Amino acid sequence: MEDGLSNCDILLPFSSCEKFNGMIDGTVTPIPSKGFQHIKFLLKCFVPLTDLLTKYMRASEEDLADPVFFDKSTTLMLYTIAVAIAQIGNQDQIGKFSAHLIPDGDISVCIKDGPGAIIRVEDHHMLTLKKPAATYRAIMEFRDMKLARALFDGKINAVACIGTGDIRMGGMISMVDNVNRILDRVALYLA
Amino acid sequence: MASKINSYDKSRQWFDRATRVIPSGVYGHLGPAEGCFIPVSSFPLFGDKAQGSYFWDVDGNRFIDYMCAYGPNVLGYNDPDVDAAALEQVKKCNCTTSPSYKMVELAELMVDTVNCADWAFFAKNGNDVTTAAIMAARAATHRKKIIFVNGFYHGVAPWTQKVDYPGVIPEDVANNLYVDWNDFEQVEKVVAENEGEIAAFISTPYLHGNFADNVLPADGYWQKVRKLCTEKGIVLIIDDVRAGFRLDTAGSDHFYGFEADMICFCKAIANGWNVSCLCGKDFMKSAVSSLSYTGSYWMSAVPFAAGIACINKMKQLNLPVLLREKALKVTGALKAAAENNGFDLRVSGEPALFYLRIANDDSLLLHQEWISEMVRRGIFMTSHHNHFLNASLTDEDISLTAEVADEAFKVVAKNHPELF
Ligand SMILES: Cc1ncc(COP(=O)(O)O)c(C=O)c1O
Repeated sequence: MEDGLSNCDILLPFSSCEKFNGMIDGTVTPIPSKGFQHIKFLLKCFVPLTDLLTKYMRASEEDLADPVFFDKSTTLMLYTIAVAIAQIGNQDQIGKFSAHLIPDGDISVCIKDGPGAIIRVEDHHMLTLKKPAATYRAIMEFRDMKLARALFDGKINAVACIGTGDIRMGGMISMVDNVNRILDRVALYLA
Repeated sequence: MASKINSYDKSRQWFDRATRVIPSGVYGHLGPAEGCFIPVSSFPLFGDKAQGSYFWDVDGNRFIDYMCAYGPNVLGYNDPDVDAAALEQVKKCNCTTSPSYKMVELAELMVDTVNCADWAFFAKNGNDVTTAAIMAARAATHRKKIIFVNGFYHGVAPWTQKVDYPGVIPEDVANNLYVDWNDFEQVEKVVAENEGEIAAFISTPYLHGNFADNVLPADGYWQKVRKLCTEKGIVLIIDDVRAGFRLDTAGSDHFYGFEADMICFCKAIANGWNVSCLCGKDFMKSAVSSLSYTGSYWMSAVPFAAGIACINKMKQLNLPVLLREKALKVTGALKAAAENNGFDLRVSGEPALFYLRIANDDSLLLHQEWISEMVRRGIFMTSHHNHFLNASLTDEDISLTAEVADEAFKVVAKNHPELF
């Protein structure tokens, strides 16, 4: 989950968010622009992989009723959103504006007693690390998996959750605040 | 003596009711998100009554209030002189078809009191008058662009927000230019790059932003900005919504030795009765007259009557000197308590609006813990914003604040054996 743009094996360019969503929906097959030697792997493995991704990211009510599946799917969503935050903060014009206001340091984005990710900011460049933070400069912690899921699904709002105590924030609130502004834009790309 | 630790059961019940019928329960600066209630369980969510320097929440907990409703409480809650004037006016009229002559009396008082004021224009909130000032500057100059100082807060209208805020579109802020505080060379550069296009420079009298130490103007900064604005036909707007009257009853521009073209007031005008005011120089009067800009309650008489009583009392008390003295006692006591417990408590900004930060870590986490322990013990402060003093604060209140501060520092130190 380190920044995927610099040292990847295969690059899948998406010219628009519709294309990305299309891949998730299975209506668009991305053309790799790099790493042609792996094309066989792609044809063999990529289609089943996107199917699997769809199962978790666009989960059905039925699948979600299974608590193990629910946790896995929500964890995957947490990581995906954490990565998307860094990408949008680095690439999206308005996302960059938010990132420009974030001081250096680690922001812990985590689910209480569950998975967590670190968004590391250095000179307004963001990088997501797929591990919980032992120390951090700012934290945004979701009460539990269910709450996180509802938030990721856009069913509840982060500002309201802070009042109810469902989201705990602490440390440099300007970091959390600007990450939340980028989070708002995640929906534009990953809806 | 160990202080009582507050519990907030009724606050929580009211908040649960609130979330059902009000977006996010309490929105904005008085609510738990923007108000940085960290953790939310340490803070009261709804109040019941207030008097002088105190408010009581719905659970009956009393707080010495160092936020003063974020500024409006300047003489003490329910000041008898201001409230008597307001209640007297209630018996006569308030929101009427023909505005009360009280409006003229308050305008005359503003012009007599505020150094750069040749006229006064009234509205309700700070945001109303910062917006009026920007519109008037654009009307007068027929230019679009506005210079802001990074870390600014001028209200909530779209032009005052940032491009990444919900509900704001890039076009709302397309004509905003940004400079860093106290950096005159940057102002010169931005002015040169946008020659003939800049309508106004808007700034608070000093940098009292959130989450960061507050910064006073560098020597000669304002005088240089004033001269450049005059030379280039840029309207110099001072947003004194927050600091107004607390530093100088003649305006904070006067305090720092320069003259604004327009100055915005709100918070301290009427000790909590709702009125805001834009004042300015003669040459801006006709531009303000030209605006299509008004509101249902802007000419209500009760806040005007309260404003007259409040301004007269602030002048009579020599409020800025009084607040400065009290503030230096408070911050001195807090710093001493910090030092005694091994904490590096930084105090910044003007004393009457002091900003605090514990500098032992670089994350505000310790500071937030200390503020939380203060609030749980009945001293209402915030971790992200400057504080406010009011004239009714007593030496006894300050002593109690110092005692609780000491206790709160001890609790935080005990929770962090790794640091102390
Ligand atoms: C400097 C400054 N300008 C403008 C405003 C906006 O005032 P209001 O909230 O009354 O609209 C505030 C409010 O805190 C302020 O501090």
